[in-house]
Amino acid sequence: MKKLAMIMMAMLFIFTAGCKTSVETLNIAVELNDHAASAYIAKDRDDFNKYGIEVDLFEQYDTGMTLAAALARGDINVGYICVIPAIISYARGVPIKIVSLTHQYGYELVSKQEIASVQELDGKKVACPKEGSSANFVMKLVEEQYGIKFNVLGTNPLVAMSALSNGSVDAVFIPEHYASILVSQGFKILLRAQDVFPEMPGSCIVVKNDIIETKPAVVKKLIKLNIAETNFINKNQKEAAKILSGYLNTDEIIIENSMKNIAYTNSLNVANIQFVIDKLADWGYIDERFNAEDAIWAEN
Amino acid sequence: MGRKLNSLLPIVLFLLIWEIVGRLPTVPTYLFPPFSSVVVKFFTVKGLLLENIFFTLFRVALGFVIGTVSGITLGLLAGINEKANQLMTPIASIIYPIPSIGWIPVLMIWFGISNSVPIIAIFICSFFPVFLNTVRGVKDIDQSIIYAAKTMGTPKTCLIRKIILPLALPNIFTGLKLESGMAIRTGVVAEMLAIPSGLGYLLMKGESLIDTQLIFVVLIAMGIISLVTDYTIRKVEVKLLTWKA
Repeated sequence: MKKLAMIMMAMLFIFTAGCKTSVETLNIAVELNDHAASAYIAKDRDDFNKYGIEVDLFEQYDTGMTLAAALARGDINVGYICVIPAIISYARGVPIKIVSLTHQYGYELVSKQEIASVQELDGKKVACPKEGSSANFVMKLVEEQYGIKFNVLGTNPLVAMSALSNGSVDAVFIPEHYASILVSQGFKILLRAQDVFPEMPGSCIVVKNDIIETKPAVVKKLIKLNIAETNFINKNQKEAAKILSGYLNTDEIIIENSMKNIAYTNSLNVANIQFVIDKLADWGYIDERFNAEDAIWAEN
Repeated sequence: MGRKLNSLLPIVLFLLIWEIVGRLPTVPTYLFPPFSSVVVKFFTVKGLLLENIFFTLFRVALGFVIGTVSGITLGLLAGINEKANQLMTPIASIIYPIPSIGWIPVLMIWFGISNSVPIIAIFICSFFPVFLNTVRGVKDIDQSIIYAAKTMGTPKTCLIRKIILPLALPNIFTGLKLESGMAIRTGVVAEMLAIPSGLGYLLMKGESLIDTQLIFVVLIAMGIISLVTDYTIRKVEVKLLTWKA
């Protein structure tokens, strides 16, 4: 019995040790693409400091799903993340709220030149980031609306790009700026997210509930900063592209072209978020529907 | 009955601790779900699970059988024929220590996204240990037995089938037992990286949807499959090696 108690104590220690609850500073994570443009611009121009936002950590993640896992673990407390993984995280019980949108669209179906239509890809091999990603969400919508079925390789954007380049697949569903890199290599955009989901919410800022509860003023500053950076991006796209090209290690022209495929906006449309929630529930990606308002911070 | 209860007790205790830890208020269920919720998840995904278990087992069985049969055949050849041994064993000894999952990236480039990737990775995983253990098994046979059989005029095929193979079987089974679990692991890793079906795919789906309950369901299924495979190989070993007992 003593031994059992010791084992239980050890397990309690192990499992509670991983739960980080620091609310002193913001640990921000962004996706490694130009969806998080407003965060990269803010970092580059030292605007977090100018707005009185203390940032302890600024990390890049390959995909929204890995960023969502970091939020779940408690490694970070603010994420510039695609809306779909944000919704899934919320549905799983991760204590977060969406506080602002950063853009609409920004996901494309890129194919070999010889593919003339989406219907031609019925039954063909297509690479796509895994379930829970926005690119996968677009792929499922395309299957539904076109009545076709892809032979899908679920992978990350970089592997998807090499799969298209080496001919393993006929097309890829991929977020910007990877889509524009592929276009620069001679591939073509066959379909854009807005073709199947007009006003599709792209990425958003999510904040852990403990930050929202203890530092609502900081969260409001974060929203204000996001609006300011979005305005800057829309007014100075060339300069913004130059800044982003450094962070994303990608040619400036490619980033500029990529940014033209993204609508940088902060307006949160609840009906569109609800559409996402309902679809995710229909496809079994989340266990049950919930009201979109519950996942959005009411004071934003 | 008492012994069975005794062996069940640690498992029950383990599941109880799992349940308690999963229900602690400091432990988020999305990170560590209680055992009961994993059981509930099993019933909601059992169709999907069974379908993907079939895909994994098919690939593992195919790769493992091809690897084992060719490993035993070429191992017997190298064990009997010194020239074949000098040709094959050094190459096999170099390739054997390379982890089979290390081959997956190059297999993905060579074969793209297809069943070939996990099947060939499992073949590599199974072939080399079975081959080397078969060679060792043949080499370890008391040469006076083979000499005696030859002097009595035993035909070569009969010598291999009735004497060399049975005497090499204990070594062959050592290789088989070692690699059966590894073959399942290799198949699952290949599915995680290259194939949109199978238990490896389900694990990655669980990861990307932050569905830890699904991940635990798959992990338990993998554990049970490994146990059953190991048990089956031991039973076959006992049956084939009755002469040794």
